[in-house]
Amino acid sequence: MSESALPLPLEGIRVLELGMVIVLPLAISPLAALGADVVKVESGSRPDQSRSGPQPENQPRADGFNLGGNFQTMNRGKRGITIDLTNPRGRELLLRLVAVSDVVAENFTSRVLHNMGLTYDRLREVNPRIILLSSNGFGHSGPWQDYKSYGPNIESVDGLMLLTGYLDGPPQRAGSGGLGVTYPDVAGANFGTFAVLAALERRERTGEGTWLDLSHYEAGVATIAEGILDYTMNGRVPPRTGNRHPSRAPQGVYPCDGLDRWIAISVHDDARFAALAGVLNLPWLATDARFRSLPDRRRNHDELDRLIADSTRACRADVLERALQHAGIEATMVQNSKDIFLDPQLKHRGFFQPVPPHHSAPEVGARPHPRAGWKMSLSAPAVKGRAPDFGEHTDEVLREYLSLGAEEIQQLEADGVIARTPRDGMVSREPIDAKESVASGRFLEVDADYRERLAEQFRE
Amino acid sequence: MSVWQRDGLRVIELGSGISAAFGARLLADFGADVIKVERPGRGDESRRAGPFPGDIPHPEKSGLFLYLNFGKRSVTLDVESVSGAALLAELLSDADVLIENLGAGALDKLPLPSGAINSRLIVCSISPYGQDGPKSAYVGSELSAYASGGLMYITGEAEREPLKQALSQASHHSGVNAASAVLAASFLQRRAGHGQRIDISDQETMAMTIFPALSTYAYTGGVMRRGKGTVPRLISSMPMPTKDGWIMPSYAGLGTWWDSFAGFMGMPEATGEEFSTAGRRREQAVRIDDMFGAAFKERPTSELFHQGQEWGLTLTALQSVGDVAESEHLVQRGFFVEQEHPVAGSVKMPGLVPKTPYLDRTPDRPAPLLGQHNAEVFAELGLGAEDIKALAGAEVI
Repeated sequence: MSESALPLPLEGIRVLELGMVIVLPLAISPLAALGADVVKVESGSRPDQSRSGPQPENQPRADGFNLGGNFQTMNRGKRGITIDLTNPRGRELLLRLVAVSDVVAENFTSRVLHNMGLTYDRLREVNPRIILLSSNGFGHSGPWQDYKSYGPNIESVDGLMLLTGYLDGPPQRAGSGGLGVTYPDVAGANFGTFAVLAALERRERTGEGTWLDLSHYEAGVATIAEGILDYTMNGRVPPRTGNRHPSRAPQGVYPCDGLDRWIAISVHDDARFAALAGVLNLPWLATDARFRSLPDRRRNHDELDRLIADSTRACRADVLERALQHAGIEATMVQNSKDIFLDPQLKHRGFFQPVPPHHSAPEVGARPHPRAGWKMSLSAPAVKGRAPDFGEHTDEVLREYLSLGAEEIQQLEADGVIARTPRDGMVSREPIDAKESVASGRFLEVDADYRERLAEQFRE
Repeated sequence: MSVWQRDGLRVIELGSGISAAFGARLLADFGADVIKVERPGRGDESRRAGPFPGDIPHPEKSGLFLYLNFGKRSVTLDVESVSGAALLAELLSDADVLIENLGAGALDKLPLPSGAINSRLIVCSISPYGQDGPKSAYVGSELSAYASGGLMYITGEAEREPLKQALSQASHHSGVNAASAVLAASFLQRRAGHGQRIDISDQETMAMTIFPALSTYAYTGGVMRRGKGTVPRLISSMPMPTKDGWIMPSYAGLGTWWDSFAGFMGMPEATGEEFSTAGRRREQAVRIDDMFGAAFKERPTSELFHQGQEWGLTLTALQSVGDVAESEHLVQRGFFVEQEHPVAGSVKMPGLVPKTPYLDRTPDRPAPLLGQHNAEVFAELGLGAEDIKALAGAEVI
């Protein structure tokens, strides 16, 4: 097959997504980009809450539940249908879809999954090759299986939060600034994507489906094994280490010229330390007895930090980054969300991809959204289209998958199994209080020219 | 005869540290046959990283190495030498996947014979900034990924420097993404016989974790930053001190169940009109911090956690690694496994994620000793005992 005619890797794979908010939609998002037909299932009383925001130009509008920025990142390229799973006829309809699908992904708690009768055993009865991804905080067994959690809860139970913080301060939640981002949701989603792909690959070899009982708590712990092993091997609970590193010094984040500008520097040997001292115009540092070896620098790290900061304070972060990198030193300007859009490296690599404009809101235009976390030379994850409107593809999918006719679909609507709009008030579309956000320090600024800036940066 | 022993993907891992090793480990968990190629004498950097039992460094006892490498085999090979690279090419000739983190462009500089990267091979490269672009030659580490990816800017306190998360999240998650991308490429390989290049950047791995901050800028122009001390804690889902530790009130859940939350905390005065909507609670945020902050301090963490959950509330303890290692919930789910290692002994560590009825969470083989499988693997490539001895003498293996 010629390379240009190659299909996307997951073409022909059907995924039913019964989940909402962040982790599950985000886990499934790369599968759509890789060619799978992803069908997102919502209902009038359970629309995806992440449809809310942020609203284009911070202007809430009646159809805003189709336009939220986060929703677009997580759901572009999927199709959207509605089925009320609290209705027995809805569950029956879902099982008919399961029979002709490859993957079902859900994020219910254990209790809800059982109450709805959508366990792996039940799904396997209608489709022996089905792969079920159950993605939730604590998993489907064990004493905490019905515990409820959002992202911040996962970071607190998995041990990461108690380890994160300044040397002399309280534990800190990653990404708690601004309006907050939830790091563990993305972390859990990465594992979810992997789990589904691993199960699909295994099915190709063995013919067997499987159940993937993914607990975000466990996924979190799986990435901090160094800390866990310090306890299981030595009975030690490691302290918070701020920005420092056990075998590097100096390592820290230092102030630069400008409002809230910083540079992160990490040095792992004496030669780099001498080079750093040279670039910072502090050549005597390299021969000062307090800083001669790595253990010396670790011991006198506070003093060293003060000296480095005194020097970096007058420098522009981007200029210093270039100068230090030129000298072979790990140095990185601390970027905010605006910097990331304007970063020439990310632009070069096509990290942002435009999601096509919405048919009913062409004025929103094509906005840049981050792509899946990798580049592939032949199977570049593609943006197949924007995120689905609420229930946009209900008729289409039911026709295509189950050959249902117009009358049957009308009956489903009359029976309340499918819905055309989310029930009133089910998706909040409150604007961000931009003024308060700047005043309280949640926002550095509200950039009045962001649209022009993005248009300029991503012009073809 | 074949060098391969399992029926899953045949993977050569080349590199050092966490990212490539963790990605290959996840593939091994699901049945891939992974041969880890290490530097003769020195081996993988993570062999020196620890933690070590009793804090005594030993290349076969590093907890991090044991965790990242169970289920694999190890050969030593100086891939920068011509004869070492030739042996690597032999290994690649019927492998499905090469996963590496040598640094941007480093793979192409190895003295591999032409055609060694054949068109069927999936090559997955992980590096700090990616294989191309103006910053691809920059040196980077965990710290740079948080800084360049934007998570650091919104972590910590406004009055202080941006803060890195603990340990090595970027490397681990680049590894997870590598495993996903390799598996995706394997479908095309199976169907059409084509391999391809996969390119993963730690910067992008971390930038994805702040996607709500990115869409906030792209849709409103707002640039999120670290919170000032004056930003209300409870409605920002910040950890709150308790009588004996810390509790995490996830406001996304508590806001929906506000009256129930106030009831659980014994605070009927917080259910009045002025607290009845999200907007009103935001106006009362400072009072809420004072009222609930004081109430949290009167109760122990475990009581708030478990009783709160019984009330259906999204309250969880900030657990230490010790609490996690002793977690009855995880023990009952068989999450922790004992790795029986010939040198390090029996070591308790996290096992396979996710839990699935088809796979044992305990690894079928422990992490390999440095070059443990040289004889076995190189013999399969047709080398005799004398050849292997000569290569060892020349420090190629």
